[in-house]
Amino acid sequence: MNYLKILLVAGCLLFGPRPASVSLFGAFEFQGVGWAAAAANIRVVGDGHPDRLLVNSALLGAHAVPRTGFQYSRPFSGLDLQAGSAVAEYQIGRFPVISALSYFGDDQYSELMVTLGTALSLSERWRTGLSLNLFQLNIAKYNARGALSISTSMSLDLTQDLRIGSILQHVMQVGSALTLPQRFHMGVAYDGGSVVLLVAVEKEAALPLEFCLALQTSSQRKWQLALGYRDLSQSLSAGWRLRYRNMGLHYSAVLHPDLPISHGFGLELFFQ
Amino acid sequence: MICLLCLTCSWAQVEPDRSHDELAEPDEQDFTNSLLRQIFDPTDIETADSVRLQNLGFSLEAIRSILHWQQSGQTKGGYKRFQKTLSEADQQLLGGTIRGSQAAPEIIFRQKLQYSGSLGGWRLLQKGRIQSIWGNLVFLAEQDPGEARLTDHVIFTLSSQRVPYLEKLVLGDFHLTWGSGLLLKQSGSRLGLTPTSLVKRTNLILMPHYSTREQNYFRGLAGQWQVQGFQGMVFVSNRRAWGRLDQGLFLEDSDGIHLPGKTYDRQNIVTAGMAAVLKFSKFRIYLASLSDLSGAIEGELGLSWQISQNQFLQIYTDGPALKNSRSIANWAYKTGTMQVTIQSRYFPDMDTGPNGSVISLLGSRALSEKSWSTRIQIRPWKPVLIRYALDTGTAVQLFRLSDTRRVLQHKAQGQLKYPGREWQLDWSRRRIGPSVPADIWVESTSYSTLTKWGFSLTEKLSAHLRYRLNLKLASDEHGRSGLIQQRILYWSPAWKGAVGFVRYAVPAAALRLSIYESSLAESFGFFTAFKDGQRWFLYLKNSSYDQTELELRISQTRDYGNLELSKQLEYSFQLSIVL
Repeated sequence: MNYLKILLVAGCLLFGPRPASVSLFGAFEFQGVGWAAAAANIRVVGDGHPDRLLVNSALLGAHAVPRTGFQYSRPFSGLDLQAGSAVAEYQIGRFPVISALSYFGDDQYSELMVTLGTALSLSERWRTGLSLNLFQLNIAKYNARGALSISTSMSLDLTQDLRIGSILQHVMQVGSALTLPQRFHMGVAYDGGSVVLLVAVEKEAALPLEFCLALQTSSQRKWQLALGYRDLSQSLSAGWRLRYRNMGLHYSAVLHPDLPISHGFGLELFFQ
Repeated sequence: MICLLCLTCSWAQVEPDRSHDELAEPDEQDFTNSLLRQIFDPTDIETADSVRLQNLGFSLEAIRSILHWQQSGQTKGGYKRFQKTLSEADQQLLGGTIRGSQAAPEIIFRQKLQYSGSLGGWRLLQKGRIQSIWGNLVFLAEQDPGEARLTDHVIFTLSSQRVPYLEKLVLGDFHLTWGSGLLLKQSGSRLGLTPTSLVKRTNLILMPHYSTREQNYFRGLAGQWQVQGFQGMVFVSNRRAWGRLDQGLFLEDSDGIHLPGKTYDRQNIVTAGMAAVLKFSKFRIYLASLSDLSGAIEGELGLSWQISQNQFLQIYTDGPALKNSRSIANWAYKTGTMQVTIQSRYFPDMDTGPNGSVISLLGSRALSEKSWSTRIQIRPWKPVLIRYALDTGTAVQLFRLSDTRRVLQHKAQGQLKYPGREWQLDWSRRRIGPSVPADIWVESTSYSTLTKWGFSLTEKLSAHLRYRLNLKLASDEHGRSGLIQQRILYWSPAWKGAVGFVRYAVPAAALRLSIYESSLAESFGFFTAFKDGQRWFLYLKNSSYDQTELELRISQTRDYGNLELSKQLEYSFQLSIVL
């Protein structure tokens, strides 16, 4: 536990902007049960929540508003698992950057990941993203194994209301000691004003293609609702999110046919 | 960018989708080669000479107009004027050319998702190229159904035409076409019905690899240069190939589908070579040599002679002793209304190609082959075109009993083109035998004859609507097969759509029939019908979003003989972005 805390603080100090010059964003949640999970866990398109930006860095705005966030969760309580991350967004020259330090695991098994992502505008409507991911896998009584990977992504605004995104996760990998699963995501977001429709396909390289569908109310409102369905796992998801001034609170639930229902609460804090 | 938009708009004004001879046998390799040439070696209409324009298929009237425009200053107004005078076929060919002085840098990116009902899985393809005045950057990543990685097949290639002293430099994956293909074990150009398909006008072609084909390419460095009448090329390649060992011979995996759990042999294929073409007067001398790690060096020698304005002669060989070497000889004769080409091939050895296949152009299945091909094309008057082809071949030496087979094939084609309506009639007869070596003495039963008929009608219903009817029949001693396809194509600047239906009855594999279907950009779109069934397809393309094209294709095959597989759906989606 102490190890995790030290990592989170170190990550924030290393990758986060100076507190004196930036606003702060905080959300205590596990990524898999985060706000994106309420919308069928679609992360290739949608609003600019850090969970999505870490996967598709092309969703970063042309000029990132500096912010830092923390997430912490104890998924599947009883298994003694912990998960957490420190996320920071900032600007380096022309490039918006997102960086994160993530941890997942228990005393016997743990995964540690450092992510650094940025985006480049190729036109007014087409942006590409590039992420560098450093993984370390630790299993008790075994040597730790690591790998470095590159993920690419893109975001294209077809119209003001229609956006297409795609991701190639771990498309290149350095080091063969640990094989990272390659994933392909492609999705469309249609902004109908009060409601946003998200449709995506996701494919982990050796697994079948999965269709995901979600409805989410506009992020411009102070309150949001989300519903989602994933066809391969046949899981349903739902959630709500409230925002008031510099605070936010959200809840998401995932109903999996074979696993217990998963609940997740998140607290978001914004500091100007 | 303006030029690109102009080209796009001008393309939309003419009928798309007409460059395929739908009654011919489909040839994916020929399609890929044509695509690569169009992308990486596009014809600059400002500098193209009459030979190149003729090879592209422009009519004589169009060639005269283009040459006149080139000599009169290549004005924008002149381009529009001569463009209007061209026929629809010539306008479509013009759409595939570029104007070199107005070419601009561009980025092209395509993502394709394709579900195959027969393979029961998805194919994911990401590819793109960045073109600038300095050269091209090409990338491609593909995963076939059942494969374990998104990057099972990866291409990353740089090519430039701005390197000092070099005409072209390629670093990465590339294709080579040298001479008549004797040295690189290529089957050469497709033996189509066009007389020019037998003749090699270009001896050295270097292209970046940019397709899902996972064999028969090189990985390394290649350079090409040209100094006055001397053209040269040199390359070195080291590629790791997937395949299997068969009696000590490495056979590269041909379909490119690498399923987990299946064992493969992997082998480094190291190759280096150089080639040169020397032009003087009416002659071209071509020399090439190739070597692998074993130290063995092979060579190819070619001579081309433009005897007169009407006659052309070519000879290629891969060894000094003609009797023991493979050789190809072409003779071409051309007048305003007639073209004749005769080709002789002599392949006395049983050397194999890079994928282990025996180079057998005619398909006699003999391990060695000598054969003749003849092509005649007559255009007695403008709307009528008549083509005839004769192919015959037999084994040079008998390595096994089946080598006693002989092949004799006749093909004929007639085209009648009027504004708004086109007719085409194809006929072919292929006689192969003795089909069973034991029956070699039974003349009446040991030969098999396959006869095929093809008929098509293209009707232009309106300025944006076209109807196509294809009827194909095949018969041999054992049965008959038939196929009828109807297709409607709609196009406008923003939308393109096609819907087609085919009903077929094909009782035996030898009687299989293929038919063209509209497909996604840069994709091969033929379907081979087998057994008793039907199939429909729907193709939609939207270009209304600036710089973006969305394509969707759905098809369904219904096999009446196996109702469990009666609803094989296939879907394809492609997103293309062009900046």
